[in-house]
Amino acid sequence: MTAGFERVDDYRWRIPRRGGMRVDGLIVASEAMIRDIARDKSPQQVENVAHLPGIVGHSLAMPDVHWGYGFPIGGVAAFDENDGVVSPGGVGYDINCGVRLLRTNLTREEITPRLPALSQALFDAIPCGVGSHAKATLTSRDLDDVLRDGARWAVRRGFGTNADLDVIEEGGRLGGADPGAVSDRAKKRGAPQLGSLGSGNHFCEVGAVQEVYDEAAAAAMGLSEGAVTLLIHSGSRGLGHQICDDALRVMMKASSKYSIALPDRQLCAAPLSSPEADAYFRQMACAVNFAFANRQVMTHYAREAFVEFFGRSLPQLGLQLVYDVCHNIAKYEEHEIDGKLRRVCVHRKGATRAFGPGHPHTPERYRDVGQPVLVPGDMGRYSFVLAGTQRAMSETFGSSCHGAGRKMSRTEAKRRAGDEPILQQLQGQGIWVRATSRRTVAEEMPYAYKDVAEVVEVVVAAGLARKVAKLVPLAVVKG
Amino acid sequence: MSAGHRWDDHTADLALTVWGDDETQMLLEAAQAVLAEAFGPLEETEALARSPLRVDVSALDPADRLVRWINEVLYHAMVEGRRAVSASLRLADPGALEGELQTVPIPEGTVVHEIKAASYHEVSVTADPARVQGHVVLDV
Repeated sequence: MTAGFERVDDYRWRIPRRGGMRVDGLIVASEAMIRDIARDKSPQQVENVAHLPGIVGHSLAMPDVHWGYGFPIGGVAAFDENDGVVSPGGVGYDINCGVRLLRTNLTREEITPRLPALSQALFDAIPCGVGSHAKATLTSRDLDDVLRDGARWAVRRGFGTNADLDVIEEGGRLGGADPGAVSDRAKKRGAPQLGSLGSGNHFCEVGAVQEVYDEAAAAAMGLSEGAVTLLIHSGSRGLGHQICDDALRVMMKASSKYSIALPDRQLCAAPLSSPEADAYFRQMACAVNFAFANRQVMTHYAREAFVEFFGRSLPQLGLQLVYDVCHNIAKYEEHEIDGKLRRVCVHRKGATRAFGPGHPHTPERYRDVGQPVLVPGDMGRYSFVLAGTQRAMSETFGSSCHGAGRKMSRTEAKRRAGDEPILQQLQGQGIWVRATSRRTVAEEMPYAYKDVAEVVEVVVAAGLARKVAKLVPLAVVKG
Repeated sequence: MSAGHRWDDHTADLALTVWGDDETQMLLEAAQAVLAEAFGPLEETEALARSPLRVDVSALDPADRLVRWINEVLYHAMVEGRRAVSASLRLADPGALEGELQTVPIPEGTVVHEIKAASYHEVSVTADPARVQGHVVLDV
């Protein structure tokens, strides 16, 4: 037993219920990983989440877990609809930070000689960087429509097609959004930012399928070896940050009002039946929809850039959306718990929905193979496409990992990067990176992250997802 | 004793420990530390027109006040483009803060590090006879 953990099997580690914990904690990790995980405060955060009222099953952590604020990043928890709570700290500031994958008819061979120019074309096409602004500021009325309708608004305005909506989690629009519940400050932050990447770990990446593990699932997703792909990772920008901050102010008082004991104040929460929770859901859904629309608009910019760059039409390019998943969200879902179907509020903080084959919320085209699970790695190695499994449905509320997970603080990454010519090193590997800031590149250097292949091997071995394909980066745009 | 701060390691975010002779000084130091991280060191501002900005923060206690204060200062800087260079603050129990900031305009495109918000994770404000110290984790 590693200190504080009980080994359940080769890939599961239990934190036994103690003190005010209402359920056990459960971390999905290999033995090598759990030693690293034990070095930061994420296990304590798994424990803290287990204190919240109405939590069911386990307080869960995926193998990419690392120290965050409130919930660990990589944390999943579900709360009973009758006596559970919702916690904005279980969603985070970047509400519906998420990732989408597009496939193309292009091949790696044909784009390789043109990567420097392609990376520049994408960099020019997609507004990015700290405090980046969109190509146009939304009017108040348009912003309200975005908050209500998400990616559906974008498609109505010509930023994509209905086919895109079929393969976005929640169809690109989370119900219950109420723009009237969103503060003026949040709207002021969001209005100039729709269709912008932001900074930090957000990126737009041209890649290629290096290996296919599951032919049937890959075929369903339109992926084949050598095919060029596009990943876009971003969220709800300043609007989401402000909605979270506004909600925390309310929830801090609500926790006291409803006598919710908090091991960490960032976990402040309100009963799901309370007016405070209702208000948060109406606001949070707006941020979720803003993020869906944000990724949809950026997809449109990327498509325009590809059409112009390659001189081919969209049908010729085959630049189709494979899937779009949320990483930071809380929503009601039905799950079988102890043999009974129950409606629970699932919080995923740095975790991905991973519904198995046959689930009615899995798009029809993936119904036989399971929902695509997109797991980006760092910009120097690889990313993976997985598919959800039935076991994830029964063990993790249909959830899996969301990425590699940081293993090095940003400060440490910058220190180690020093004067290293990171961009030149990546170019030496055939990866062209365009970024607004050297600082971002240093913070995001590949070795600041765990090896995503190890993370993926664990979720696959634990039965929470199946490997479909491995992607390698070729051209990366960073904020 | 005087005000100061240090940045502590945090895997995904930034952790700030900040201190001053009293809480007001600690809060002012926190604001300057966060703004310097987000926008770089304060250059010569004498030539810039200063404009006053009233702030009114309602918080439950000093730790809550530290978070709310940083987020208030960040909002005005990130969204309004107004960087606080000095402030006159009045604190009241248990967590209220009101006062006036003197701000200078932030030139477009000078953000060097996007800070989303100050969080409540491990937030604390402690006082001993020598100084008041705060600790806060910033989401970046």
